[in-house]
Amino acid sequence: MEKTNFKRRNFLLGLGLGGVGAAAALLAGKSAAAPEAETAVVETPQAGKGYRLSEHVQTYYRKARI
Amino acid sequence: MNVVTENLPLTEEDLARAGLYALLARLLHAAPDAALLDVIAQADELAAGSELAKTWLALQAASAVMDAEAAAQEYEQVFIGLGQGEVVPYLSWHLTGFLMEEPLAKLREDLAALGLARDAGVGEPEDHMAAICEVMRVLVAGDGDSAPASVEQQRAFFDRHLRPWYPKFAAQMAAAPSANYYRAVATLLRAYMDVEEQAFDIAD
Repeated sequence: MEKTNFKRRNFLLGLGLGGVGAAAALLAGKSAAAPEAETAVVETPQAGKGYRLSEHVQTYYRKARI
Repeated sequence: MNVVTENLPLTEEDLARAGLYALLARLLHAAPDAALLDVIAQADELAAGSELAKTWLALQAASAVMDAEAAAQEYEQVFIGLGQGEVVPYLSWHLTGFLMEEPLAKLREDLAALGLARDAGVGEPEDHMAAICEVMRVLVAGDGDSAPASVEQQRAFFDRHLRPWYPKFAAQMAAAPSANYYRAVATLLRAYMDVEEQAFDIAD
């Protein structure tokens, strides 16, 4: 399990996905031009450099609270 | 083993995956506005070499020369049209030839099992590609105080609801007569989901 996770991570990171991720996360946040009240901003400490992963504005889904 | 003890910060690659799913969901849900076009155009490039990097670069180039009004017009022609758009973005249609058939019912069952519910006020069927990308984002990144799903759960959802039709959908979008900007979106979607497919297969 540990080994497959490692291989999987290497595969994804080897594509340079890390770089686009920060950008895409930023995009998703910036595109959130609609109702501000709905746009909770989630801090993503690992991303560093002030990147923030904003809750996507067209959130169709959320975990139902039980 | 679906027990997650706490919400760990997302890894670099999961942040990337969540961002790409969010971006695809956003672009398939509605045309990009000027601000989004601008940010895509100015975003970082990917390490060169991969198909994904090529398609990302192409979308950036397309975003640099596209204006919001033209994008809105194109979205209208490609996805909405007069009566029917050139692209049908629904899972059920691609698998059965009809809207709202069994694939939608199966998707709804899986969403219920995952504890995912639509926001009130969203009238669109759940099997719209934008909505399915949005589910993947929630599974990868979690949502608010709910934890991300396990890779096994993500893979199961991808296998059932994306793997069977994303190549057909991407091909239809790339070939749509009015598609210009959305041709670049189609190739990015195809390249990214190919990457996802391969990565899930590594986790076998």
